[in-house]
Amino acid sequence: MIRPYGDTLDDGKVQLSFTLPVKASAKGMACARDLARQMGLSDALVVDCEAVGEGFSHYVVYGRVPYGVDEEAITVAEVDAPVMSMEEVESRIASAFDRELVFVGASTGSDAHTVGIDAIMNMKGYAGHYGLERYRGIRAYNLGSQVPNEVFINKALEVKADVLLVSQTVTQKDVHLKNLVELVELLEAEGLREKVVLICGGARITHELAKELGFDAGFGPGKFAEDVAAFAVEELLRRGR
Amino acid sequence: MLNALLAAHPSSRVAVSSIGLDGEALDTVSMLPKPSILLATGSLVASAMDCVMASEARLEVIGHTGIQTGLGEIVLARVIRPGACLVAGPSTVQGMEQAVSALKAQGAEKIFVDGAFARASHSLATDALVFVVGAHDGVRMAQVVENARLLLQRFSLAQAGAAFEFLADEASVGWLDGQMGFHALPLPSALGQEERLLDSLPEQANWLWLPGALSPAFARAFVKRRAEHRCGLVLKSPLSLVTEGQELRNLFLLERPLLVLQGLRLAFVAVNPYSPAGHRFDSAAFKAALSEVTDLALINVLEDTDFESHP
Repeated sequence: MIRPYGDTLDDGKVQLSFTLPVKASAKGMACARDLARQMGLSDALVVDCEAVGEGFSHYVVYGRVPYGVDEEAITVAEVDAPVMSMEEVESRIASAFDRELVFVGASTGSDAHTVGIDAIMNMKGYAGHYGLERYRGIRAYNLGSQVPNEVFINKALEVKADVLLVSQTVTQKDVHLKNLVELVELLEAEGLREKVVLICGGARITHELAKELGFDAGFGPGKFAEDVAAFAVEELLRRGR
Repeated sequence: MLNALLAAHPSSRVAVSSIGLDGEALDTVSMLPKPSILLATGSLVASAMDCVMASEARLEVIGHTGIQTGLGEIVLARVIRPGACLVAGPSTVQGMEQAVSALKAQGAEKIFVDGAFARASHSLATDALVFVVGAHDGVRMAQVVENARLLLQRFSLAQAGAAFEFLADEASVGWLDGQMGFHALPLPSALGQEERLLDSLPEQANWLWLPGALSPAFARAFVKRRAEHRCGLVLKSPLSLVTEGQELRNLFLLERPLLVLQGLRLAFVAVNPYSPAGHRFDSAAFKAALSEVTDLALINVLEDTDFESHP
């Protein structure tokens, strides 16, 4: 059993933050503390209280939870693909395909964040991992952010894409779910779904969620271009493409 | 809902699949508890191998489909010891059609395919659709009912007559004149080409044929340019209308004919006045409000005893 800790191992200390529709005041802090109590925190301390506009206040609460997690009982579905370096992916493409593979990526819908799609696609890459634009054997198109699903699919048709990469960073009101479902439904209606390897990624994307949404794979934090490329190349090979 | 359907068919050889992941203890997104899928001995499932292995029920693999998903290959399995099952079937329409055929070949008499989120395209692999409306869709009953009205109108689009049947072989976007002559437009798809399509659509067009999707962007453009184009629209099926909310409402408000080559059969409307988020609607008031927007049977599986009469 593992427990969160702040000061000493297993002390159960956690920190949470939230906003209340109340003026920053002693009463607001008491409200925050009572909310923490209802959430099961003991020894709750309101360690920060800031006004965020008229009639609203933001709180940071530090406290102790009695809960732990049985790490052994937790299972996580992960993408089943071989671990490869960029050079190994390039070598695999060169030996198995007689053409370039076409990847089209974008941050779709209203999402204005390019950090995710750039980390995977831009030549310079991220954290020492080069992006797909640098890979020999891959023709990569990064459409950037706020790309409507219609434009994304249109580009995929134009360049005869093998792989579609969708990044979603903004998740307020589950807008990412609506946007990702719309993409899948548009691809199905156009008769294109089976013709592409469809991959989504983002800070709040899991492989299980990707399956629910109708994608072939989902990549969360800590994954790099070579992880995405290795899955896509193996999936294309499996499909005989 | 799925457990109620299964309980209503105790003597049939039933089979279950899902386009998403169902039967897990906690919902993937909300982390709220979900009901188990309870399958009796002899029932069949089309599910990813990892899920077959992880099920509480004991399952015997009786066939492989070769369909791959993010959770492994879809296999056919038979329940040999009853219990809760974890089910994740094919993610695509083509995959689900293949799995349904394989289940039928194994003797399945009733096959239930569970959905996921607002995905609807998998309905193409089934004979009928159960439309589920519930408090999970919002805290205001009037808004939930209005959303349901729009979606039910979408799923109930009228079938085009025999005169339109030839369009099934037309892969190009095109328009029909007064004599039903077809004129292809030089576009591989309407997606991302909405304005260009409407620019090239002549005023004398009686009907516009969209062989792929009618997207939100097209709906917006068509509504905006409603004074230029007074034609009706023909789609493959209601599932080609990939539009919801305000765009769908505005499209319907145009009152232009909207026909489909292949209609959907709606079996009934399943009504759930409870939200996992904690709020609930008054059951009778919710049903009364829904009865104003549909003639379909409204079934609350926890309350209605005549559920079995609506297969």
